[in-house]
Amino acid sequence: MRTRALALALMLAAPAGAQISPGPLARGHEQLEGSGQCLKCHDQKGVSAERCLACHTLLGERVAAGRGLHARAEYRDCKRCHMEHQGRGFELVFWGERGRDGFDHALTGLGLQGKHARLRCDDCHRGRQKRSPQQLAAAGAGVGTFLGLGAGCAACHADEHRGQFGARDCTVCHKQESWKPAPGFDHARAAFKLEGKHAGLACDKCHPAQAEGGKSYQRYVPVAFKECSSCHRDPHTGRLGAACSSCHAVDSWRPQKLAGFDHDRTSYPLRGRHRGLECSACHRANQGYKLAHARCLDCHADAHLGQLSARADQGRCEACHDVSGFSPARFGPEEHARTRYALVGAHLAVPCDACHKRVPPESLGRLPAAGPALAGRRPGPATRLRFASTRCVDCHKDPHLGEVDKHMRTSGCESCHVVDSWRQVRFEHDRTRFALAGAHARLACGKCHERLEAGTPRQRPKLAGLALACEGCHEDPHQGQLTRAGLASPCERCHTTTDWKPTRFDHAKDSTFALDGAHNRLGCVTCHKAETQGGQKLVRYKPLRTACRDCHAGRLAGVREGTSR
Amino acid sequence: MFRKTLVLAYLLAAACAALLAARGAAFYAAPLPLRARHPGYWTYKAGGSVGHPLGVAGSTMMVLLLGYSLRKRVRALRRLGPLSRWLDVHIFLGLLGPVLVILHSSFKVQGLVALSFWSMVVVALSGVLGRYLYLQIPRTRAGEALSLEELQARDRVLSRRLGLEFGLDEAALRRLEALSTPPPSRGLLALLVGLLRDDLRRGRELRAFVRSCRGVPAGLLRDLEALARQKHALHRRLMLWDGLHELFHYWHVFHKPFAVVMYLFMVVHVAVALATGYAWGTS
Repeated sequence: MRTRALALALMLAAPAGAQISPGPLARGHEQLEGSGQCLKCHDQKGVSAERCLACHTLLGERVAAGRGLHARAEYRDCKRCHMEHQGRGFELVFWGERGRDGFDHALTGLGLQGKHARLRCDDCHRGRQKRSPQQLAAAGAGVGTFLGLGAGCAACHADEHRGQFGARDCTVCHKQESWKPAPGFDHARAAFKLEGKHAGLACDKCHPAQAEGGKSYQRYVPVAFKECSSCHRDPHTGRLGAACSSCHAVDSWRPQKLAGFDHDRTSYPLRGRHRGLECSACHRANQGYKLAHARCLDCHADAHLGQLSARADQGRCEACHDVSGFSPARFGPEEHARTRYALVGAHLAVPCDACHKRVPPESLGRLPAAGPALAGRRPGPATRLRFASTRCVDCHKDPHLGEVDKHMRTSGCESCHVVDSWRQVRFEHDRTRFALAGAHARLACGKCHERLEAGTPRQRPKLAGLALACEGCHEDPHQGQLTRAGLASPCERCHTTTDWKPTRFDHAKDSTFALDGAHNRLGCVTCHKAETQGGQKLVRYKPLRTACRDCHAGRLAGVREGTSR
Repeated sequence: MFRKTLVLAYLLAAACAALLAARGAAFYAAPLPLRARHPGYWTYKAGGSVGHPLGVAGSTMMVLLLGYSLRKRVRALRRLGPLSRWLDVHIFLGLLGPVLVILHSSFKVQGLVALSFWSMVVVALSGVLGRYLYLQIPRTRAGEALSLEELQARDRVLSRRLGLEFGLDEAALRRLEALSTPPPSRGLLALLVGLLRDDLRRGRELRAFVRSCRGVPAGLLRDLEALARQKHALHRRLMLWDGLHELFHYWHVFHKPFAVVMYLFMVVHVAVALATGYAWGTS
């Protein structure tokens, strides 16, 4: 039985082998595995940092120099973080609860700020940025070491400025938040202070990109800046000299560009309204400053759309206009008199635009060549200066509504009217079928020519179609007593146009009762008495009894009654 | 007095062990690969501020319990108390020591020390079995084993008391002796298994036997059961006298080699620990 028990003990001991290690070493230390190597790390004080750093010499140098995480007092005892004998796959480096990327980099002596704080470890601790593998191997550092990366910007970043700033510290201008912009850079400290418009410029406007080795970078120094032309192209191509600042200021190129510019130095001194213009009114973009200016139309559009181009002076604007303004034009009655239609009479008092109205360009019959002022735009309405004829009806309406067209066709309105006044009519009534004589010649026209459509805008005197007979105008005061069939104008048997009093009536011839004797001395009313008929008064001429007793009834009583006609 | 002190010591040791186990439960339950990152690592690991003293204390107890062996073998020590007390102390240290060592190991057992550990576990468990077998062999108060004649005399006394005090006749006594007793002729392992199985049955069988005894006042049934239990146990020990002594002999053969292995590798483990810097207070 004793033998059996010993065999059982040995059988149990066999799987354990002869090893006395409390567990396998991590992969990085596996070469130290084995019971014969314990004392390479352990001594009677346990596992001391001195033993660790005897191998990890690179780290030892940093600890000795007081640099880095491991030089901190709380990180001096290696085994407090790097627990061993936890198995081959155990990660010797413990990064804390937040993992490797949550490591507080400030513990290493280099706090990460800005964009650096958001980087992952491998973004910086990459192979190419560590020391060479040979260097690391010689120093005893493991493959996974984080050592070998300098704290300076150049350790990771290429010099974007290609040495323009020498060994100056990048952080003087740049912050860790971002590469652009460079908040630490103050252009006021540079030789060229940014003022006015220059202050708002993007850097690359003055510091253009340059190529080097297939990559571009911006040239910051040296940059020529003594003259404006170092950066700016001279739009005047040297015509106005090199002293840009005599006209221009840095605040703005445009609004103050002529602040000190004397236009009189040019071939076109500004006068009149031209003085108040913005430069850009004439010097448009991309036109330069040398402009044609011999003719007004070099800048201005032809407001008359070529209506005057047929003139001997080809319609030169200066004939009527000057730089004091387009209107009023220097074109008065004298100038008008030199046209085909001199202004006389009432026309002298008529405003220009009463005749020269603004009309669409199509109605003028021609369009001008596109000038600089039009710049391709369609011309607007223009004042009509030229007329196809100068007849009155081209401007005036016919107030007679065609009643007098017969006369109009022969000699126009001027046959009756003059330009002095509409109402001053010079009509010769004798040329009509009704020559005015006697009292007719003294009458106002309206006595016969009644107003048609009186009280309306169309009212006008009735000129045509008037009756020529007396009764066409006059009423018959005799109420038809003297009318006889077949007699065209019975009035003229007794009356003339000279007077109403009958001068032609011969009682002996023109009546059946010749007056003789005492009858000649009688007044007419003795026999022809007034009476009222139909509500109207009249003098009874006919029929009238002609017997004696018809008038003398009292004196001839008993006399045989006679008959009168 | 000694008994009370021993019980108190057991209670105190159990409370301390339970408290330590509870405080380190989170660490002990953590998977091995994660333990190194556990906040309790430097406290409860084998070399930790708690783990290391536990190991020292446990190991010390395992060494001290060897005093029982010395007491048995060195005559000069006989005056230092009866052997049964030494055994009680031996058992106490043999139980508490492994518990402390287990906590010291933080349930991470590997390497050479595993031999010592598992040997310790075997020795401790076998000690429990040994204590059981030890009880099967009647002894004096001082722990000395009784002879066969002494047992037979005690058996006769018990039979007479059962007849006089409770009116049990010869047939009833035979019935009591015939309650489950393993046959002594089927080998030591069958004997051991039979002992354990009968002990599980005995209470139920004794109660059935007491109920079958007529004429015993109800107030004396508990006394009858106690006396019947003594009678049955004594009779079984008489019946299995040879087998029990042989079994106890081979238990020693099993218990001691594992103890030797345990001590051997424990010494190596302690030596290595001291050599690698794990002396007291250096962890």
